[in-house]
Amino acid sequence: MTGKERVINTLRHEPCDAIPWIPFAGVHAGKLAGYDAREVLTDSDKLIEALGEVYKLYQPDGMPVLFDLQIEAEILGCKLLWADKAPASVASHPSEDKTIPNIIPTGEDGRLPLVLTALNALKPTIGQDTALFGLICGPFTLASHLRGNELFMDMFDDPDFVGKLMRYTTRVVNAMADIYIDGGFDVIAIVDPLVSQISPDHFNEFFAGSFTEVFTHIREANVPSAFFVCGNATRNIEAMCKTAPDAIFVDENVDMAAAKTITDTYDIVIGGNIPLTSIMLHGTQQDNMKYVVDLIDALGRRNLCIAPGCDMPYDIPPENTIAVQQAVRETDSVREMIRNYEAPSDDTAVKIPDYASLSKPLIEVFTLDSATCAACTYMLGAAVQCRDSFGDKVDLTEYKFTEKESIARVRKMGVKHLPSIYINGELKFSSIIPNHKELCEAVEAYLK
Amino acid sequence: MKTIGLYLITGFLGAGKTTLINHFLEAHPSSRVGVVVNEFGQENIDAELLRQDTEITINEINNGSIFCCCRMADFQEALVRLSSLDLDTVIVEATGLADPSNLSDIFDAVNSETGGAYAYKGGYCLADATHFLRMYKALPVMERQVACSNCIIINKCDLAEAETVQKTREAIFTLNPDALIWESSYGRIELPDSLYDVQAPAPSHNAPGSRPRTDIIPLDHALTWAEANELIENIAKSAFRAKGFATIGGQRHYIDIVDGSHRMEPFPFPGADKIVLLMTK
Repeated sequence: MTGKERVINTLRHEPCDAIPWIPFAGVHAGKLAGYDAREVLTDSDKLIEALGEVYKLYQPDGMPVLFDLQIEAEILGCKLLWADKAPASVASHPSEDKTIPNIIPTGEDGRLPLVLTALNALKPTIGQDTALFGLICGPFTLASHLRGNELFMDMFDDPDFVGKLMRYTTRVVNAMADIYIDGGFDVIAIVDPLVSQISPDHFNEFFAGSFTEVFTHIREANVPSAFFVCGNATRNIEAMCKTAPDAIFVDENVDMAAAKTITDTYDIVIGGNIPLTSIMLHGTQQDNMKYVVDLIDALGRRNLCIAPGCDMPYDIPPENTIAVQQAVRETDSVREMIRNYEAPSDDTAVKIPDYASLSKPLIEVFTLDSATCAACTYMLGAAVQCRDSFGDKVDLTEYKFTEKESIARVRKMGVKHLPSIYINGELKFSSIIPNHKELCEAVEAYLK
Repeated sequence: MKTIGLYLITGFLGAGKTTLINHFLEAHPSSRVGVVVNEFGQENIDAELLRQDTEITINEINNGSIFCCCRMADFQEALVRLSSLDLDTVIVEATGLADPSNLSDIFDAVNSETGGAYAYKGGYCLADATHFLRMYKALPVMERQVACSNCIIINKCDLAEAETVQKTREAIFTLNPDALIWESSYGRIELPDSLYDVQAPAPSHNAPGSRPRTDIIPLDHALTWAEANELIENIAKSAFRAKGFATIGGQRHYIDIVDGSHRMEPFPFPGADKIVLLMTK
């Protein structure tokens, strides 16, 4: 089964061989390719290259092409303020004076050509086995982009205006859905962070109708849909279910196990919710693996996707995401890895070579498991190719984290990230796979 | 090791957060201050306050709440960065929709990374007397802002009816009986110096075992003045801080007891009579 089939089957409640893994690599994709946030959100070539790196390193079942909730706002007249490591933020509100724009986006507007160019480039390649997600800013958050925070006062002072504004933003969102569906996105995700900010009663009064209309519109095109929300949306989960998306994605503020008891009642898939900062950004690989294993053990395998809680921070170490992927794909093996890692261990039997006395340079490749972790496979492959080019002048060995002895070696040598390449006991490459030239040059330096 | 005092300012849009910060800067002209600003506001820090002997470092974090998973890393990074400067104080002005319930996690992470650079001075929540009551039930985040704060400032009392102000006070008291409540009018939020040092405990996880212990004395009947005086005297012996409502001499009163002295004022609105002991001896 391809990743794409895995995602679609899960959303359609059809038989599936595994839990889908969907990394939300928006601006983080830029980091993998050496581009800042603005570059990857405004340049289609750089975006395509960056998404290629996401695919190569993280082996996703599904992935967004662009994670930017300001695309629509920009088209409708909002000014943006750009940042190096985050999406732009909205800096002006055209409906400040309660004027409602009359623009309905087409595929030629704003940065939509960028999105569609990337989509067209990816569909015949990555898109063959990975579900491509088209993300659209939800109608409520879009309304707040246009009106600013005054929207919340309007709910009390001028509910008719809120109704009018929401009817407009709903039309915009539906138009965006049409553009993305016609373009060929496999899943349409409506991303509306502000839903977590209001009570269920106010959600039902002002916004539920819009979301229901949008998800009905997407369903009529026979495309799966998802409802992404950010923040503590716990009290609104049921109201969100009633708008009938195929999936709801939540972040770390929501108790996913508790939320799943509700989403299961409506036979809606739930996705999430790996913490972005404490685990993905600042945690170790073991922390990431443990979180995912515990999540899967708590939630079961049905009606579930594993994803970060939201758009991944730019600086998340790639090795942490690699670890997450490994935990999703090889949960049982990773559970054992963690057990072995956490168990008290005796590393006295681990012999660290006397590198200075070796007759040949020794390449040591530390992996999670080169048989199942794609990044690890590439890292080992690069090392093997390099060793082969030197013939018998260089030695090579792999240590897999699936083996207890290797875990002890990792600890003893202080190896922090997997996969990584050491030459004569010195860390040379970590997570990002070196090209052949880079690696051979590094080895050359050790040849006597 | 010298620590940096950390203040958190929350409150819905227009409630007066920036006004409070401006007042703080005015009241502490020689303090070296860092400010983390989490939203585009129409008001900015008063540029007139940037005097030669006042040093203010401002960090802006936009496009989301600093407590939201998407921007939390930026917030932590800003606090770590500011900790390396020679500052006395860091003030965090959160966005109007910020839910600070996870402040303890962020505070622990930052202090772990900086070796304990920060001492938490307190959370200050601004509540706009003109619309707090009608909005807080619709916006759960406003309840959480109140619940997570040590001092609630009911602002714009001059623009609201006295009854509205009193009911706002009662609503806030119900949400957070531990907090000090201050009222301000005419755009002047001039807290006394003592209120800039509410001796807040480090932000704690909102678990029952970690919240400060409170005891409640329910009052199911009206009191005579003699009974009320005896009650207040007994409470003052056992609690540094207590507050609540009691019907005395046929009229409902609000009672505030602080370290042996007390304040009492008529409170002509119905509700449950009880005294909450906030800090017992």
